[in-house]
Order: sequence, then structure tokens, then C-alpha cells
Amino acid sequence: MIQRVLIPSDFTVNSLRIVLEYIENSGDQQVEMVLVSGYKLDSSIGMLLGFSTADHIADLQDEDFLKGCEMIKSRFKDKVVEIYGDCMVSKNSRYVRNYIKGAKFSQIVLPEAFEFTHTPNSFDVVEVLQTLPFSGVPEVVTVQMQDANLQEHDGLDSFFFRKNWRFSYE
Amino acid sequence: MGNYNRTLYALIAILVIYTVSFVAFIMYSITNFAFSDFYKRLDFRRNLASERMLNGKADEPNWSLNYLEELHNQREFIVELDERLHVVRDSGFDKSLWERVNKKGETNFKEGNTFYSTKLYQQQGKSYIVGVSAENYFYTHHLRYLQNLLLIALVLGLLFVTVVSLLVKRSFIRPITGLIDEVKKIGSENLYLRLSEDKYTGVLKKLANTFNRMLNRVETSFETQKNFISNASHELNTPLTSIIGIADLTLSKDRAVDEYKSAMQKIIDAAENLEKKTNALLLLARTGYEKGNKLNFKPVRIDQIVMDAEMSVKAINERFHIKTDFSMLPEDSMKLKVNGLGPLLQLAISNVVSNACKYSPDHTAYVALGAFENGILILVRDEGIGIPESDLSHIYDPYFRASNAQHFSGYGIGLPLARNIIKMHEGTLSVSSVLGKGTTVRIELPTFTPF
Repeated sequence: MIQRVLIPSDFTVNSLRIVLEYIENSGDQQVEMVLVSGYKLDSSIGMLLGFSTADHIADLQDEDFLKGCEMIKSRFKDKVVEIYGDCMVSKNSRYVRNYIKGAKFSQIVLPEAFEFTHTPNSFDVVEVLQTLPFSGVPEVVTVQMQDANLQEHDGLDSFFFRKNWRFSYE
Repeated sequence: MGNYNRTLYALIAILVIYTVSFVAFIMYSITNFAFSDFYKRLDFRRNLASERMLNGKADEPNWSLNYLEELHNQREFIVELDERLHVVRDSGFDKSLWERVNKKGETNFKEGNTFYSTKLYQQQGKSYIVGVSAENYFYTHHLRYLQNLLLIALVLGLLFVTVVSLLVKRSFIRPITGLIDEVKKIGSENLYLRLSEDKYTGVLKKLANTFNRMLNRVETSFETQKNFISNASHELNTPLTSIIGIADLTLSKDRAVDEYKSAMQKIIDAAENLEKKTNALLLLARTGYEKGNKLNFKPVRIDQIVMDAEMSVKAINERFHIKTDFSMLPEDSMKLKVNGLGPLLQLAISNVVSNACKYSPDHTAYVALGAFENGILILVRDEGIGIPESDLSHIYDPYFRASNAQHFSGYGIGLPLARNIIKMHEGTLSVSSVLGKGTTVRIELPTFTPF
């Protein structure tokens, strides 16, 4: 059975390190990854009627981010069934609970010591998720971010040279 | 462009002529209708007048007016004629118009705004010309109004055509003129210039994009040919120095047979390396002269090429270390295939890797390889001196050396050559650097697609 996993994201290449850490430290289970960012909708009628999740996500994703996703899919072809983005539009705990329930997530990934890039109206999904009590379903998976120095580096090279043992050849 | 302007002006002239002709036709048709209709009405009133004057109904002058509306300034007249058709008497007829009256039948004519209808009648052996005249109110007022209306419409129409023509010229001809001006600026001395695609829309944007892509190919081919001798000298210099150095060192004193064998083996390795580079350079020399201007590209495995490049770099200088991260290699090996020439790609990658080793204090380069949907990514990183930001835009110029690289040997040829080779393979090479921290070279190549 394919598991659907919520992974907090800000749609930067750097945030894809969370995906990599999760994949490398999880089992052989096939997963469908939903990269979720937080965007607080204001109460204007224009925003309520005109906001489109797809457009908002497309605005945030740059070419390198998409290439990064493709690279992860190529690397973990048998394990990663799909990667796509989504957006939470409120910090309200009832909304968040319904969002998680509606999307039928079986796992929620919470990175430790990772700072997301803030854009206007954005909020940290991890902070919101940490306030909610989860009783087993969905399962909360905590990942340790290995190299704090890479935090400042938002480029595709942050995918590589993350751990010394990965240098496979000299 | 002159032809284009002429065509545009011809179209405007045709439009103006058509509009004027259309207005004239409407005016003529309505006027014609107004005349013939009014003459009919006059003829009818003339017949009634003749009945009244000649058949004894003179005492009822206004009987017809009970049924017919009197025309504006309507007047009736009768002229009695003798046998020779000379005027015997008349009742208020303007004699200056006598010449225009048909003395033997009916006449319709117009004098100023007054219309006339006359006819010859025979009564008791005498001849009479009975006529009616009236002003055509429709002609003098309504038609004038229509005429003014059409003239105003014509002027507005001409104004509209002029404005639209100017707008068309501005929105269509001006971008083309801009495009031509930009193309004129590009010559052999500044082949790096490109058309600014964002300035154009639609088909012109496609044209600018196509032209830029053509310029990419021309620039690569041109630079490769122009710098061929420098490239050849640069590439052959290192193995030759290595061969000479080993031979010199070996001959500096008497040695055991095994040492001579070992030295000879090293010389053979260096010579083989030299042969590989010569072959690659010959391929480079043929750029642009192949049939159909395309090199004989074949699918090659990029991971193998990267490893071969690393081996050749380490063969040249034993102090160089290369750490490779293949952790992101795709599961599907087909994604590692690129369409290209192995020796040339190896030459490009080895140049970049040896540069990274050279500028790194511990002579270590980090090489990584990954694949995305339609391409392959190669990253070569060092933790060396970095490149000053002001020099970054010049690093692809042949013979350019960064201001902080004076203490390192080199000619500034390796990176431009590598970039040209990557461009020949429809790929991109970009460099990012932080002064004092290191440099990362990013190479992207399109994946080979069988169909």
C-alpha cells in the first residue's frame, strides 16, 4: 500500500533536504509525498475568490526546485511514487486537523532545526503541526537535519556532499 | 522595410479611395432619387394645373389642394404660343428660362434650388406650355444635411484610418525595426550579444529566440575555430611537460632496470593521454565542417566519462584528489546517457576538475552527478580561493585570468574551451563562486532520447 506523507516545505531547493533525509531514513515502503507550505489567506473578498493554490505554488517553485524534485524521483524511482505541492491556508487547529484527515496522510514529517524561508503571509507549518496532539494516526516522523552549514545554501549542490560517507569513490 | 511602408501606405490609400467612393455613391444615389421623385410630383401637379387652366376649372383654383400638399414656393404658369411657336402671352413666366423649355413636349429642369416641369398642350387649335415650379425642400435641406453628415463621417474616417495606421506602425513595424537594429549591432567582434527576447511578444519573440539559438551555435563554432591553436597548445602542454619531466628525472642518474621500466610505463601512460587529447582536438577542429554541420554524436554514459576524466586528471598530477558523490545517481541507467562525443566531454570535464584541484589549497575537487527528467547535472566544487565578483563575467573570455589567480600557473583557456564543448552538446555551464570560500561549476547536459 502506498503511504501518503506530509512534508513541510517552503518550495526552496534547500527544503528538499528534508525529503532526502526522510527517504534515506525510512523503509522500503512506497510513498506519495505532499510538500505542504503555509499561506495565511487574508479576509478580503478578492483574496477569498481569486486565490488559487496551484498558482500560488507555481509562483513559489523555481526551476531548480522542480529539477530537484525530478532528481529525487529519478534517484528513488521504486520508492517515490509521486511528489507534489500543496498549501495550508489557515493556522486554525480545526482546519489543520480536517486538512490532515481529508488528505488521508499516514505520516507527517517534522524536521528538527530547519528554518524555512518566510514570504509575505506565509507561516511555519512545522510550528502549527507541533501544537496538535496526534495519537498514532498519522504517524509523526522526526528527521534530523545533518549539516547546519547547508541551511544558508539554497542550490542544487546542497543535495550533495551532505555526509562524508557518501563519497563513494576517490 | 521600405517595401513594407509602401504596402502599408498603398493599403491606406485603397481604404481612403474606397471610403470616398462609397460616400460619393451614397450621395449620388440619394440625390438622383430625390430629383426623380420630385419631378414626378411636379409632373402630377402640372397635369392638374393644365386641367384647371385649359378645361374650364379655373374657378376652382384650389380644389386640388384639398388632396395634395402644396410644394414649397410652388408656382404655376401658362404660356400661349402661335403657329410658329412664338410667345403670344404668358402669366408670369421667367423669359430667361425660355431656351431650356422643350416647345414640342415635356421638360424637366432645375435652376438653382427651383425645379421646373413643363409640357406642350394643344387646345382648340392653340398651343400652350403649362408649367409648375417649386423648391425641393428635401434637396435644399435634408440632402444638405446628409451631405454634411457624410463629409464629417469621411473626415472622421480618414482621421481614424490615420490613427490606426500609426498604431499599427508603432505596434508592429517599430518592434521589427528594433529587432533589425539589434541584429545590426551583432558582429564577429561581439558574438556574445543576444537579442532581448522579453521586449517582444508572439511570433517576434519566437523569431528572437530562434535567432539567439542560432547565435549560440555560431558563437560556439566561431570561438572554437578561432581559439583552436590556443586550445591545442593548452591541452598538449601538460602531458608533454609530464613526459619530459619523467624522462629528465629518469636520465638524471643511473638507475636500476625496474626504475627504468616504471619510468617508461609512466611515459607510455602520458603519451596515451596525449593521444586521447589529440583525438579530442581533432574532433574539435572538425566542428562546423561535418556533413549537415553536425558532429557524429552518439549516446555515451556520462558517469563513465566523469570517472575517465577524473582518472586522466589524477594521471597528470598525482597530488590532485577527487572526491565523488554518486549518491544521487538515478536508478534508471538510461537517464545517464547523453548524446555527444565522449572524448570531447571528457576533455571538458577534466579541464573543469583539474581547475578545481589546482585552485584548492588541498588540491581536492568534489564532483557530483545527478539526473533530472530531461537532463544530467554535474557539479564540480572546490574549497579554493574563489573568484572575485567583478571577474565572474569575464571568466569565459579566452586568456582571462582572475585578479587573485596570478600565483597559479595557467593561461585562461581551459574554462572557455570546456564551456564551448558543453554548448556544442546543447548544454550549459555556469559558475558560482564566493571569494575565499570556493567555486562551484555546474554543468547541465540534455539526456539522450532515442526517438
